[in-house]
Amino acid sequence: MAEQIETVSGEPAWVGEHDQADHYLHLQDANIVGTRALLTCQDNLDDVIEAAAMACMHGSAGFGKSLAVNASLRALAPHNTVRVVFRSRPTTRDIRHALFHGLHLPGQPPGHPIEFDRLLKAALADRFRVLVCDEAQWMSRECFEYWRHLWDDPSTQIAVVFVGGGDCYRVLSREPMLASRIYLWQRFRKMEPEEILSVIPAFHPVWSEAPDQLISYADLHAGHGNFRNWARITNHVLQARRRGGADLDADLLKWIFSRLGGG
Amino acid sequence: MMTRPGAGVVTIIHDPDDDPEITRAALAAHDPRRGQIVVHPTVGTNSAAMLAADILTALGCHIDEDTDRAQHLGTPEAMFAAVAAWLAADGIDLVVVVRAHRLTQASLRWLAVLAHAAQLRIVAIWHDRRPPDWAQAFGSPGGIFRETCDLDAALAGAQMRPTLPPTLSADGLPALAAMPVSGLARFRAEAHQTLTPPQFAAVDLHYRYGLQRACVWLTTQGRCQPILEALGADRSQAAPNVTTSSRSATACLGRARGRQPRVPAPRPDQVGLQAFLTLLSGSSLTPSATVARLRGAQAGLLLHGVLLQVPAELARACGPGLTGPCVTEQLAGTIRQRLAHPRLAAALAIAAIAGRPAASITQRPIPLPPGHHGNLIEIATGGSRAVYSVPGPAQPLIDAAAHYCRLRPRDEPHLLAGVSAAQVQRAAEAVGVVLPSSTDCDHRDPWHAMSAAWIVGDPVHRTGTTTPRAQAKVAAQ
Repeated sequence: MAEQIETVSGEPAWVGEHDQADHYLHLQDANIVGTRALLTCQDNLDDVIEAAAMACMHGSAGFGKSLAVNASLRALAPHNTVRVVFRSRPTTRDIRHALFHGLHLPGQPPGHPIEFDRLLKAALADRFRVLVCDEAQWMSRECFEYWRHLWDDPSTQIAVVFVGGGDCYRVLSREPMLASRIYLWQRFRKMEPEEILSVIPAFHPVWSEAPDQLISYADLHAGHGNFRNWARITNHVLQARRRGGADLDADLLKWIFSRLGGG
Repeated sequence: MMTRPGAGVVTIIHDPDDDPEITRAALAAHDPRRGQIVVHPTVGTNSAAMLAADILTALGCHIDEDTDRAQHLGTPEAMFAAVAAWLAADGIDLVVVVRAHRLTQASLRWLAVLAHAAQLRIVAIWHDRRPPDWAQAFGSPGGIFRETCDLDAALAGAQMRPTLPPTLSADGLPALAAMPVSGLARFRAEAHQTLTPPQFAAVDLHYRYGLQRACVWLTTQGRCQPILEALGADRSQAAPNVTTSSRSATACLGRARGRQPRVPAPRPDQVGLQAFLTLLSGSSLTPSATVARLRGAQAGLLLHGVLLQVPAELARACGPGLTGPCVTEQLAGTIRQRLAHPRLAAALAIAAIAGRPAASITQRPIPLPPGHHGNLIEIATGGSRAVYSVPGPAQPLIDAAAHYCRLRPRDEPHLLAGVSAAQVQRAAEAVGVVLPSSTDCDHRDPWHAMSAAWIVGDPVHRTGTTTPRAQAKVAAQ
C-alpha cells in the first residue's frame, strides 16, 4: 500500500496553516514572492476554478509548483481546497481514504467501493471543491481513472489540479482520458538570472540588503534558479549566523557551497 | 411486451480520443423514467459481480457490504439475475455503459448475455483501440454487435413511462381510536356528530372514495374474470347451483338485474372480493383511511344490492391497510434502494401489503403470480388462503421477484424461496418499516379474508353510466 504522507484539507487545516509550511525546510521568515510562475499559476487556477476544470502543474523538483499552487489556492479557494499527497504509488483505495479524511467525513470509511464512492460523490456534490493531487507522477492509470471518474460524475462540483515533478507531463499526456480533459498545463521552469535578482531579496530578509553580485554568485554556483536550492542556501546562512554571526559575503557562501557539494 | 428495434444488440460507440463530451452526453442520458439507465463502472475493481453491482446502483439500489453478505447476492450469477429482474420489472430497455473498454472480458460477456437474454439495447462506450473482433472482445457469438460514432442515434427512442396516479391524502384524518365504531348504517352519521368539521371532511373524502370505487368495481369486474380464473379462484366458495357463466353474469349486478338468484344469497367470487378490498386498502395511507374507505365501499355495494360484511371491530382487526404500512412510491423506492435482492424486496413489500408479521409470509410458499397477471398475490394464512391486490408502487417489486424466480430455475419455484422471517425482519429494520408482531395478529385471519358479500336485493344506484338505465342507453346507441 502506498504511504500517504499528507492530507491537507478544507477549512481547519488549510485556513489555520501558516504560509511557512509551504516553504522547503519550513524556512523561518521566508516570504512568498510573486514570481512570474506564481502569478501565472494564480491566474491559471482562477480560470480552472471558474471552469471547474482539470489542470496540471508540472516541472522539476524545486521550481515552486506546490508552493505556487498552495499559495494561489489559499487566496482563491481557502475554504474549498482538499489536498492529497502520496509518497509512492497509491491505489484507488488510498485515494478514497485520503479524500474521506480530507473531506472530514464522519464515521468509519465504508468497506464497499460503491458505497464509498456514493459517499464521496455526495460530499463532493454538496459544494464546489478544488482537489489538489500532489506528486501526481506517482499515480497509476487506475488512479487517474479514479480522478476522472469523480470529475466526470454529473453530481460532483470539483476542479482537479494535478501537481507533479519529473515525468509528470509525460505520464499525464499519454493518458487520452486526461489529455482530452486537462483544461490547461503549466510548466514550471527555473528562474532566469535577472528574475533571481528581483525575487531573492524579497524571498528572505537575509538577502534584502545583499548586493546583486553576491546573489548572482550564489545562484551561479548553488541556486541554479531553483527555489528549493535557495531555501537550502538561506537556511545555511541562518545557521551560520546563529553560530557565529558571520557576515553574508563570498567567504560565507563558499563555506556553504562546500557543505552543499557545490563549492 | 413489444420488442423494440435494436433489442438484443450491443452498440459500440468507438471513441479512441476519449472525448469528455461523449462521456458527459452519455452520463446525462440516465433517465429510468424513460426506460434508460447509464452505468458508470466503479474504478479499481474488475469483477463481473462488481459490474452487476454498478448496474444495480444505476437502477437505484443501495449496494454495500450487506448486499452480498446478508442478501446473498455475492455471485455474478445471482447478481446478474437480480439485474435482469429489476431491468424487466422497471421496463428498462436501454443500458448505456461508459468506459466499457476498461471492463474485463468476463464482464463484457455478461453484458452481451444481458442484451441477448433480456432483449435489451446495450450501448457500450469504448475509448481504446478497436479490437480485431468485437465478438471476441466480448467473448460472445457475433451478430449482436454494431459499431457507430453516433451516440445520439444510439440513445434515440426513449419514451416517458406513465406515472402512477396520486394517492389520496390522509391529512386531517383522526387517529384510529377516534374513528366512529358504528357499522355501515350509522358510521357516517356518527362521524358527523363526533368529529370536528375538518376531520369529518377528511373522513368523508375517503368514505366517498370507497363508495365510488365500489360502484366502479361492480360495473367493471367482468374484465377481471380471466385474471381471477388464472389465479384459480376457489370454486367451492361459489354459491350452490351457480355456474361459472352465471357467476360472471351476476358479477355486475347492473347487467344482471332481474336475473339474480333468490336473495339473500352469498355472492360468489370471494377471490374477486378480496382483490377489490385490498385494492381499496392498498393505497390507504392510514388505518383511519382504510376504515372510512371500507364503510364507503359498504355503502357503494349496498347501492348495487350487495351487503358487504366485514369484521365487527374493524379497528382491532389485522390485515391490509390496518396493521401494515402503505406501500407508497416513496416506501417502494426505499425498499428498492436498501434491498437489491428482488426476493427480499418483494418479501418486505408483501408483508407490508398484507399487514402481517414477517413469519406469516415466509411460513408457506407463495406461488408465482400467474402469467401477466402479477397484480394479485395469494398467501396461505391459518387454514385459508387470502388474495391481495398489489398496489401500483409495489408492482415492480413483485414483478422483479417473479422475474428473478424464472431466472433461477434451480431454486424452489416460489416467489420468496430461500427468504427467512429473520431476513425479512432485518430488512424491515434496515428500511425503517414496522411490521406487526406475531402477538399483534395473534394468528388471526386477515380482515378481508373474513369478509363476505351477500346479494340482498335490486341495485338502486341511479347516477352515472353505472346504472342499468344508463347502460341500457349506451347499449341502445
